[in-house]
Amino acid sequence: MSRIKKLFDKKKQDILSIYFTAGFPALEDTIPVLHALQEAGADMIELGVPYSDPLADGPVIQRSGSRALANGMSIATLFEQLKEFRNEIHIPVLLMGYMNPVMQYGFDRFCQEAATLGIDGLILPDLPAMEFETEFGKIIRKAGLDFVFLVTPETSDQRVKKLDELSSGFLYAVSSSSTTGKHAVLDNQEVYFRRLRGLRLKNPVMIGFGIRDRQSFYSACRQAQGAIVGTAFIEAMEKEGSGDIGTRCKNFIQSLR
Amino acid sequence: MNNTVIIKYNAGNIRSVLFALERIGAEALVTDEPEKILSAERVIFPGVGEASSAMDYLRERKLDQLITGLRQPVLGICLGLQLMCKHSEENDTACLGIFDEMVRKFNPGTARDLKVPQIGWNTISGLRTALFEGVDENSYCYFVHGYYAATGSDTIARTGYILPYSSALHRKNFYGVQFHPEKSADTGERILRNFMKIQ
Repeated sequence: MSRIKKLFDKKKQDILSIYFTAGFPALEDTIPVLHALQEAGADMIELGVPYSDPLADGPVIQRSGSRALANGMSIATLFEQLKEFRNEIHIPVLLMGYMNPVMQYGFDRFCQEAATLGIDGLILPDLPAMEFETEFGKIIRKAGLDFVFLVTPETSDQRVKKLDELSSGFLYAVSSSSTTGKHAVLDNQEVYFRRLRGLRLKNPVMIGFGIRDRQSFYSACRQAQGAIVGTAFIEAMEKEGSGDIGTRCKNFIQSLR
Repeated sequence: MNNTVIIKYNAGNIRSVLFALERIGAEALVTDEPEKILSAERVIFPGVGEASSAMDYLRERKLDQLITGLRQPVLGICLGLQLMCKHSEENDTACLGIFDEMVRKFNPGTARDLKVPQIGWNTISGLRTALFEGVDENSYCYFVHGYYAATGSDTIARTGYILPYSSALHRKNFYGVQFHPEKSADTGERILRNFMKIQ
């Protein structure tokens, strides 16, 4: 059974997943941040593979990716850093990135090496479902990796069901690119999450947007199995003079729980 | 006369624009019928594509003359803005000439870490006109482009990428934005709302 499945079997609620960019703030911070997050009580990690054109990310994560690339981060460097991480990191870790660098590295090789290192799953927002079905899905499955698709409020019921069918591990629910003022957002989101619950999906749902603090975390957790925090965490890491990396991670997780 | 029209042509990114308008409670008709464009309250001229083939398409259908003659608020997006300029270096294309500015290709030169095209979030500043009412200086917008409009008298927003360029232009009833408001989260939504209020 996959580490991700085990997590969702064991823990049904309030699952906290943290996104961070590999090689950020400094190239050698990847492993210390993984450790600090596990120790601080994160349930799962999405480790971002930096890319120059991160089309599914906002300015904060784009900036962290540019900095990581400037630091010299690459897939080869990341895999080198991850060589022994499973000796001490026991929570599920997914790689989140884009097709371009993965294709350049070699899709097969990327999946096999990631799985060998102990990576549990992949999130590649620009891998279309059709290409997943016809070509890439079987490579991912063969490597034994989970694969997570994203859905938005604009994804039709039929399409959500299809993406749920193709996903394993969990389904990633993001918002539309725009929001319409606080109250409208709440109403719209509630309609969206109710719709997702009504579809009786096979995968647990994780909510991944606009979660910045305890209140937004627990309000997302009322609608799904858990939530993903990315931008707010990167912003906390960017703050200079707020303690070492470990302290910053710990303080941030404590502010959510 | 109480409607918004999105001009249908061979270089569209129409779906996201429609969704963005829907989110702010506005409906739009996608059409290339002259009467409907002429009678619209406001017109959106979107575009993702290549300049010369888009201009050929517009000329064949005489949409070029129709667009330049419009009197209602018009918003060009991305290639839409570039086609509203005088000339584009993209396949040496004569454009609509609504704005005086020229469209040039980004030349990374010594800025080796800056790739072309620019894809991603960047800031807008020096904001002028009602289009940017309530939008903070240095707000982030989403860009995807390899050509840019130079700065000039019609510039109402600037962005720096390799060099400072026009991220928005304005002349009379015509507005153009180089970024994609439909992909620019809250800021983009505010800009679309502002456009929908311009008389």
